Amino acid sequence: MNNSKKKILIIEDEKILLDLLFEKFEDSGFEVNCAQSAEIGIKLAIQKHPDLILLDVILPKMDGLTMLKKLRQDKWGKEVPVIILSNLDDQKKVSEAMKIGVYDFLIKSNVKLSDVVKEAREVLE
Amino acid sequence: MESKNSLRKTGIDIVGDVPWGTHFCQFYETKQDLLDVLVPYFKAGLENNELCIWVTSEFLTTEEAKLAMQKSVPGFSNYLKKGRIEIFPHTEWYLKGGSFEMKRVLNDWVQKHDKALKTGFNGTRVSGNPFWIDNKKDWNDFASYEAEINKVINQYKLLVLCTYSLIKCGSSEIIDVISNHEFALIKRKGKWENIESSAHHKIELALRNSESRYRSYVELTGELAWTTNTKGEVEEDMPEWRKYTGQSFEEIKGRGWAEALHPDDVKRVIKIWQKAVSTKKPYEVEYRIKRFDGIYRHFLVKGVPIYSKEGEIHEWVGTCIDISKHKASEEEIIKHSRQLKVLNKSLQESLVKEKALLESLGDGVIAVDKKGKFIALNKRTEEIFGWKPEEILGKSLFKEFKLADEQGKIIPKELRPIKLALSTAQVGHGIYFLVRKNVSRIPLFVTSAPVILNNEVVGAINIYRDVSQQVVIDQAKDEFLYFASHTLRTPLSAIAWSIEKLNENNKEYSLEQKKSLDLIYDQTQRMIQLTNDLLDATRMDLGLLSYKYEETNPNVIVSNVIADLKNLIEDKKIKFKLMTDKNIDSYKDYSNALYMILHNLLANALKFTPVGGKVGLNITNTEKEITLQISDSGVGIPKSAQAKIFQKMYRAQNVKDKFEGSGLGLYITNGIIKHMGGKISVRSKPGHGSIFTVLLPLISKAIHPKEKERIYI
Repeated sequence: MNNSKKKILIIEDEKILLDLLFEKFEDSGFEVNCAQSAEIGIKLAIQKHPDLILLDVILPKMDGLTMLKKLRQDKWGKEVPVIILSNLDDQKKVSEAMKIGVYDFLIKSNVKLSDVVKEAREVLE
Repeated sequence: MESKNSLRKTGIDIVGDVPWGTHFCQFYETKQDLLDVLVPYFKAGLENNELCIWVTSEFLTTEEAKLAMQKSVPGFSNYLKKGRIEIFPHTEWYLKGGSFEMKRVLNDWVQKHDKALKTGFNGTRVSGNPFWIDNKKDWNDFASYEAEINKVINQYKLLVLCTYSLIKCGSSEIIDVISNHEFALIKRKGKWENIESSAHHKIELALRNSESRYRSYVELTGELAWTTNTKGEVEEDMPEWRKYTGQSFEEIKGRGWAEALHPDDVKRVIKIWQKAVSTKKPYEVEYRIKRFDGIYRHFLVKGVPIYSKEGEIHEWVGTCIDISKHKASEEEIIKHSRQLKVLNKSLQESLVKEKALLESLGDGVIAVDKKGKFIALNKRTEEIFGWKPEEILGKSLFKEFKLADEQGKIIPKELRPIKLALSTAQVGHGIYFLVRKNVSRIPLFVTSAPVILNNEVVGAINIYRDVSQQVVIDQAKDEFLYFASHTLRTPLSAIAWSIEKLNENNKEYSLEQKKSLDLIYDQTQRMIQLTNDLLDATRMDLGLLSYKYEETNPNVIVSNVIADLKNLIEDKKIKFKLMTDKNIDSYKDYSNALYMILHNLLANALKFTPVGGKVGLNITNTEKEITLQISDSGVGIPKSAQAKIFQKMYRAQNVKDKFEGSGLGLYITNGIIKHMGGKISVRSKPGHGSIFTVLLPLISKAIHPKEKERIYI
């Protein structure tokens, strides 16, 4: 691990899942920021400049992919690594996300929390 | 014609060269006068390959003539023997039948002339002497005969020199003679002189000019000129006719010309001819004339009677005009009009059929012209739009109804599918909403296709499918998929992650507690797997599984699958054996579905194989296909179940209770394989294991990935 803590931003509207992710990443030594909507998520992202963003697709108003598109228009946001973490595995959504540019598209129910952390570390190394 | 105009050597110094058809005379007093002119005349004839005919008189006999020729012409006896010169006494020529008959004599000349040409002479040169005439009647007859010669001589390759005794001619006779000949030779003061009959010369020249102009005209037009006597008999030569038919003058003479007529036409022609003769009126008739090569061509034949001064018809003249081309186009027109009639009938039939077909369609069909005006519509259209045909035909489609998108925004005219069809000749289609007053929003699947005639868009056909029902169904499907993937998985994720957390944080559970936690976790995983299978099966049924033919290396996919199943292989201590073809990575254009197929089949093999058992994956390929063979040493499949394992939700009796499963894995796998144009088969012995063999085409032509036409609202 690096000496300085890696910053991660988690955007997830399901409170229970968000809590589980938050704890897991904090326990794993990350500095974690959370948002339950895309609108707050993009604000926090521009403010805090996290090293990695975990992004859900289905969100209350603006959906995750729309947020991602906006983020990619930002000078900093263009480069930040993003992992999609969603339960919607619609093929269209997956290819759309890949086109905009994400590191991976994970299905929540098909991965362990530890797998998510493992992948996050892989990205940041 | 050409040779007719070419000049002939007369052999007479004072005359020089003259053309064929020259009719001249000589006045003489002594035998020497005659020989002075005639000997060189015939000598030149013999030297120039002309048939020479000398009719002598009592004044200078045949014997005397022969003797004179023999003296001056080397090899004369030879010429005589070969018949190149014939010398007759007047009694054997002019007075052959006892008296002078103009027609017979003229005919004899022509026969000699024709025979000469046939036997290879260039022409004929003759000399005659009317010394035998001793009364006025004979003189007059002979003068008419001379005049007749003038009329016809131009048609022949003939030179005629008439010799007249000055002693026997009075002044009126001399005038007769001079006017009947082109020129006369007379000896004055011991010297030969050439006296031209100027009037005769002028007339002759004018006649010749007009004749040659007429001949050229006839030749240019390709018409065949003809002259017959009052009985329709040919007496004068018809060079154009002979050239066309290939008949000789002998053959066309009299009624011979009619031999060239088409046998089917002869009767009709004779009838018309007889009518013309009896009414003395010009006539026109069409008949076919046989060309020299045997081909009949159509001619329009016109004839007019020529009257003599006495008001009697003395001959008929006319032309034959080749009208084969007109005739052919006339026949063509008749043929075409017949074809048109047939075409028209079949068009009407197909119209009726098309109309019936259109009416029976479940879709609305509208035909418009190139400006977008209604030409035709079917019953279903009336139902969808609520129109009556009589109200709508001729009106503009753009004005009668509008289309909107999902959000209710009106589609501008330029972007409507029909505009695309009319202006760019492309087929346009899409889902639109019909916007009409007092009519609820109807989703329509609209297709517009251009109608192209001779590379030009002349209109368009529009098809409207009411997709209200489909929209409702598709909406339900989408909702279900959303529910299954998102709503159902979210609580499952929460449970799975929570247990994971519990397992990590607290390591002091009792065995019992630990066992319960594992049970909850396993069942949650089972639930997740069921959900995933359900989603895959549903998507496959709906045609929503995407098989993208991308540039993928099958070897990479194989190692991905094995990596994903590594834990399972290790947990069960399975002896896993992989064999792949070395060349396989050179193949591209392969589908991602390979991952799903391999994952499903290998996961199955691992599941049904006991701890320590064997699982193998063997991949081989040919140019056309790739073969996957997945073998295991598992429980095997009973024979009765082998045919059913690919059915939806089917689970074999021997695994039903001992193994978890949805009964969807092989159903999905089979579905994907079929979609790719491949095949799957199984061999199995219960208790010993199973071998699944999959054949997949390497060239994606088998079945192209195609998503079902979906309508999203």
